[in-house]
Amino acid sequence: MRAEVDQELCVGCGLCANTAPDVFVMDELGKARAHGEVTPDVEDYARTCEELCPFNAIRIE
Amino acid sequence: MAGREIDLYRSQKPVTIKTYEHTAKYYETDQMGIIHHSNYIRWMEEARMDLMDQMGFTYKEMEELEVISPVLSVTCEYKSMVHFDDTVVIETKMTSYNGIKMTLEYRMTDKRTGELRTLAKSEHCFLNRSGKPISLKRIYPEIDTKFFTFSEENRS
Repeated sequence: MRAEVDQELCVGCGLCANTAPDVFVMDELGKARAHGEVTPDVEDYARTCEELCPFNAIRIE
Repeated sequence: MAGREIDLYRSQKPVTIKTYEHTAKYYETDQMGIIHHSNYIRWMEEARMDLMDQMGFTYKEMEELEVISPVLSVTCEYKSMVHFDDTVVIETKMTSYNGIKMTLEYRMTDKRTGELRTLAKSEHCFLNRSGKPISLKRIYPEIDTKFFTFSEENRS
């Protein structure tokens, strides 16, 4: 399972990187990026971010 | 007062959910002599808290667990005017809940005439004391089950 952040939609609010730092990180441009697989132990955190991203920029697939 | 019967998790018998009533105060009126539009948002909060009380899990109890539920969005369609001393009946329904986010819908009608006043909606998430979003499903599964069984979407 992987997480993806749409760079066009992301405004860099940091909610996801703050909520699920094992899945999301802020890059040098101030936008969120997903890193690595979404493992079962962090899936719920990643889903929370997907659900609450203010700009619907996150997809977990 | 009419009510809706709902089978709640771990409840011995169905819970009858009553509508919430608010009588418009003089200080809620504006220069046009009607209720200022901002007050309906406050009434929604009153109705929401009352709904949680009736569910047997108050907002205060939720805060004591260090969970808060901020508003993500509010919409309100003003269909007809409310005046001072009118009593408004508010029917509140949790229309969706998924452990992370919930949506409530409100239908406000005049108690005397039954005329529709407003249709409104609010969305909420759940945060811990640090302000981080949480999943009730993961952290408080019993509360999650209660909310889940209560929402219209999951009962239909």
